[in-house]
Amino acid sequence: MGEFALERISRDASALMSADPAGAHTVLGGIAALRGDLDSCQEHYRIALQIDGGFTHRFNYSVSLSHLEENAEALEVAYGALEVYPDSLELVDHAITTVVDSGNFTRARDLCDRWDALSPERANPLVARARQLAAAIDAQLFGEQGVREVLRILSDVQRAERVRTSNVAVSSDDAGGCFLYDRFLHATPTLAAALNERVAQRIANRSDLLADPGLRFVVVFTGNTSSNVSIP
Amino acid sequence: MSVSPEVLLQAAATLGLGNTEADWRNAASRAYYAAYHSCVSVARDARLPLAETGSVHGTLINALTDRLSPTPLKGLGYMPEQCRQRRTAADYRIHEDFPRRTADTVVADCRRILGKANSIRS
Repeated sequence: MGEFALERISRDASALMSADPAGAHTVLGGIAALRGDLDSCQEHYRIALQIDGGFTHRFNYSVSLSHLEENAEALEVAYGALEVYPDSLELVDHAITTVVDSGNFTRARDLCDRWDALSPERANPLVARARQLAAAIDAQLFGEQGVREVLRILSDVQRAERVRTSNVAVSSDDAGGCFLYDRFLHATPTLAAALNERVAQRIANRSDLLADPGLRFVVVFTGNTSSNVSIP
Repeated sequence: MSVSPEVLLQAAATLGLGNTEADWRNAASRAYYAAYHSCVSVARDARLPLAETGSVHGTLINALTDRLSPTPLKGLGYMPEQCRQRRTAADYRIHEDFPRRTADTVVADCRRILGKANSIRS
């Protein structure tokens, strides 16, 4: 979404401020997230939640934080919302994604059980993968702390370039001993490759991360062939 | 007859211009091998221990990322691992989708690996 469209939506939201202030601040918080402005995003949602702690505002806040790659905070907001709305499938689904994106795999089990209980007929591919990652932690294939650091480096590199995520895929080898965390970007393959090199170098500078998770949990960006975002 | 990593990579890029998933899988696989051979040359120059048989790819990447390796080699070593896992998907997991964007990114990744390997060797 371009700045022109964001500006128009922002004006529309501001016009709603007196009629629906919580809704207006939620929209403005979402726009701030799309613009990559964390401080403004947090401030708008803080006001929205003071006025109305309803589902939409909590859920959108967590999604906006994920958008900004603030995955640890997104997870805490999602957990807070789950205390109030424990049966929301949409929220559980988002929380599972956030658990994986923030490297909190051992917390995934409860969420995966909740998904299965709420939606036994609907398979969620990330549920199986999240359980596999939790099992890898239990088996001490790698530690969560190292994974969190590696994911933090990935997000730092991405944020510095102000590139947004389109989706994430986690795959493993047949033995389930090595994982590839693949973050798909709204960026050209050339830019994604440049970011991959930066990530590799930053991980290489950390002997602790080369040891754990090392090559058992590898992170990578994938670009989008149709993207017209070029390397700066 | 012989071939260089650069020629392999060019062939991979050409394959990637195709319009079928088979083309994209072949592009990612060829590009990875271009990067692999380029990294082998760096490892040989640095006199790192390499396997002649067995998991030659794993041994190469482990040698480059070993804690005693110089930091530029560690950074180089992590990059082919990023590509190796996607090359494994390209070659072995044919029941899963393999999109063009993955092939294009692996080719771009491998181009950077060759550039980094050449700068380390020069």
